[in-house]
Amino acid sequence: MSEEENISTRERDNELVARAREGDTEAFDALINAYAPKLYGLVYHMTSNHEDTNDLLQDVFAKAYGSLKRFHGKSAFYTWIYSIATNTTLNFLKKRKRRVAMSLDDMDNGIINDEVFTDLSHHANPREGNRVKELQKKLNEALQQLSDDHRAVVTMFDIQGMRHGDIGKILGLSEGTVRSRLYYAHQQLQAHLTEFR
Amino acid sequence: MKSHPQNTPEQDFPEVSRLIALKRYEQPEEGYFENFVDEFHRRQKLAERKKAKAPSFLAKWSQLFEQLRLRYLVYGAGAAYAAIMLALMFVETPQALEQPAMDLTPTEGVDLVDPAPVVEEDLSDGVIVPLQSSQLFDEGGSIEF
Repeated sequence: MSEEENISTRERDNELVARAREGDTEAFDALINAYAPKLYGLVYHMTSNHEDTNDLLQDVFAKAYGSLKRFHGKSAFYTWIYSIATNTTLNFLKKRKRRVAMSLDDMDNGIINDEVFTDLSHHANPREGNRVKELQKKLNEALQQLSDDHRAVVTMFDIQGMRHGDIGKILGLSEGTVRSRLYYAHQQLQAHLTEFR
Repeated sequence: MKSHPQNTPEQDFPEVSRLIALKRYEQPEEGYFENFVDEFHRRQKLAERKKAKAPSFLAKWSQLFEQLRLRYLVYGAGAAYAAIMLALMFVETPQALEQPAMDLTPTEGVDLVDPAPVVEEDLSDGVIVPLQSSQLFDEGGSIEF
């Protein structure tokens, strides 16, 4: 996202937040519609479970709605709601501790057309369907091997395409710490994904 | 692989980054986000209703206090009733309490069960006539052998 887009998004969010604080429910609905898909990705890749993700995401927006009066706009709404989502999910994961239920049928068909996947399929196995499932399983297993904190960083950086600085603001870490967590996490992942490289 | 954490992951582990990025294709079922807002409002209403039904902190304390008082009243009434009943037993039946207890232990050799009628054989005509239990005792009430 460019700097200009960032500014306009921030202005739009601040306006929606101001209206929501005045009791305009449609304004909060607009915020939900804007952020639910992004937050879904964040929470889902940390939990690997759609049902848990749904409940957590509902909790996240309920918490945000209840705390709107405490949001003063010092940071972007985007950073604020991502922090709520990350903390809520990390707390949930601490309680859940490795009750991993990975779904194997929900990877979108878009993966078939991804050039990374096409390369892999071409070189290794012509049976794409099996290859997708195998790859997804391996990816999920590799991610679940990481600690919750490292998985959060990998999810935000590699899957959601966020910047180191933004991740640092959300997690309350320095950019250097985010980078070293990513480095360590990638080392771990590489060991689990050797056959797909 | 020797590298520095300050490098970007693409520089250090390009294949790993590209593989993990494939997970972005994992999406919820179609129509999920259209229903998400409705679900949010439904849960909000439910939470508000629960909040309205739930008693306040002060109300909870007064309710607990009331319950405790009521419980002590019940306990007190029960104890008073038991004390009165005990007192009545001692006042109304002192003689009964002083009487020795009846000895119910069976006497040695005596069967407490009603004995079967003793059969006396009439040798004159060969007819067996059962004796009545009253015939077993003499006028003094002792057993005749």
